[in-house]
Amino acid sequence: MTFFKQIKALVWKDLKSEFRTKEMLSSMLIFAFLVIVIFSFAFDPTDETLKEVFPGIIWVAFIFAGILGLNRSFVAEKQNNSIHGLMLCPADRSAIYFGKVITNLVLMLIMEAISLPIFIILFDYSFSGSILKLILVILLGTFGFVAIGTFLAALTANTRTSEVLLPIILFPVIVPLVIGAVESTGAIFIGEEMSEILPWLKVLGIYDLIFITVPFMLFDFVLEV
Amino acid sequence: MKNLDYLFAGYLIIWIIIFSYTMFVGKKQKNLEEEVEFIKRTLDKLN
Amino acid sequence: METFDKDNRYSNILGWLAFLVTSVALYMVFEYAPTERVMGHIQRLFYFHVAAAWIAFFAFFVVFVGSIIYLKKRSTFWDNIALASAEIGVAFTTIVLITGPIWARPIWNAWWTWDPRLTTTLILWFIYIAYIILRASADESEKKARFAAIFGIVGFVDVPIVFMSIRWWRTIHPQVIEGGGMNLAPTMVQTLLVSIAAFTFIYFYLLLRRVKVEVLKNQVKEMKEELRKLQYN
Repeated sequence: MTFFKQIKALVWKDLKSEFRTKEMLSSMLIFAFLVIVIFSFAFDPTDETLKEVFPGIIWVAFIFAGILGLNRSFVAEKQNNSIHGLMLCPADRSAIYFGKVITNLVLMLIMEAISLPIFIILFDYSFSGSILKLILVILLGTFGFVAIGTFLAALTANTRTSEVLLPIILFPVIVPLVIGAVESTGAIFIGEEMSEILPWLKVLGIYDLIFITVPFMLFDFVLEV
Repeated sequence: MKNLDYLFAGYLIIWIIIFSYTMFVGKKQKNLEEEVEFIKRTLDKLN
Repeated sequence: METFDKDNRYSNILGWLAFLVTSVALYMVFEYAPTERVMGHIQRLFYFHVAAAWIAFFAFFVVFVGSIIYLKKRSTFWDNIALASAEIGVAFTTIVLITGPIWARPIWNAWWTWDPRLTTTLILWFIYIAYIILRASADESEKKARFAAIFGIVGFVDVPIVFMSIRWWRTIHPQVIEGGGMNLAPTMVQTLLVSIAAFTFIYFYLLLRRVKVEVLKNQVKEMKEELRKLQYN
């Protein structure tokens, strides 16, 4: 099997078992929804300041909900020791990493596609920017988050306090990503020129590139027996 | 001249942090050295 | 206890050197360097604040290098260096984070400014606290070392991107307070350099001591193993 076929097989396996139960997806969706509702109590939803913090709120919701999915992606493989089965596959170790990245990416994008329209409706937000640009930013932001998040989730899955540990080691590392995603989403929402958005897209692009390369190089060390 | 308080507080904190870390490491080292000595004596007795 | 005396001699020499250079640095900070015209005496905090920041950054660089060498060679020595350096780096970062606000308060009338350098230091502090927590929550010592090394590399690679992104972020949001921009007299630069030298000596002194603790820990572990074998025979 070629490398891509191997990845495809791994992704297919994960997505199939997920869509059978829809366990993760429904939890992530409800969680994102809850975060937004909590925020609406924290800030007055009819207030003007909300317009300014709205991009931040949606990214916080996405990231918190995403953490749930990331935490499960490798811990689930630890049950029944299926991770050893995966490691015995005649495939490159990095195929496991890329497979998990794609699975998590698909799950997060589905969650975001459903929850974002709901957020906009709930807050009665008048959206005046370009949807294509917004999709690009969400893709770049989510990809970077999933790339480093999946990698660090593989690390923490082997520790005693994995669920608690992941946010602690992941949040400081994704600071640039959060800044880039929130700033560019905000700029798109108020319909800024492309020249205003471009620097942030660059931050996201550089971040994505670095944090797909570094895990690719180091992933062999994570899955040693 | 009230800024001198801040200056004093700043330098005080710098040395508190460095000294407490040194103390922490020193205490650890001392305990471990004692443990090594103790096990060594026990090993000698057993051999 | 004679066996330890020889090992401790080097760290003792280094300790006295550190003490000496630090005394000179303190003398220079309070007597040799002129009082800054605008900020007054509080500016004397600058020397050790900046020196701590430099050494913290250097310490984290050592973590990065130690982590790479550990993953290549799997030698406990380099893992010990990385661990010790991370702890000392966190200590120095804490100094930066506390002296920063103490200096800012009387000058800018605000404890904290989201200045790129100060904010990056805060994120650095979080990253290496995470490094220490990650280490503590892995079970076996081999796993501890391997995971820590991986995170030590990821964390350090992140630092320049953090700094860049925070700087851009601050330029977009208008800054009320302008940081930096100080004209340093030559005597001030000399004082700063001696302060950095003082902290460098303290860094290596602490590094040596902290690595020694890890060596002793391993020794205790091995001896206990030996003891266990003897008891079973």
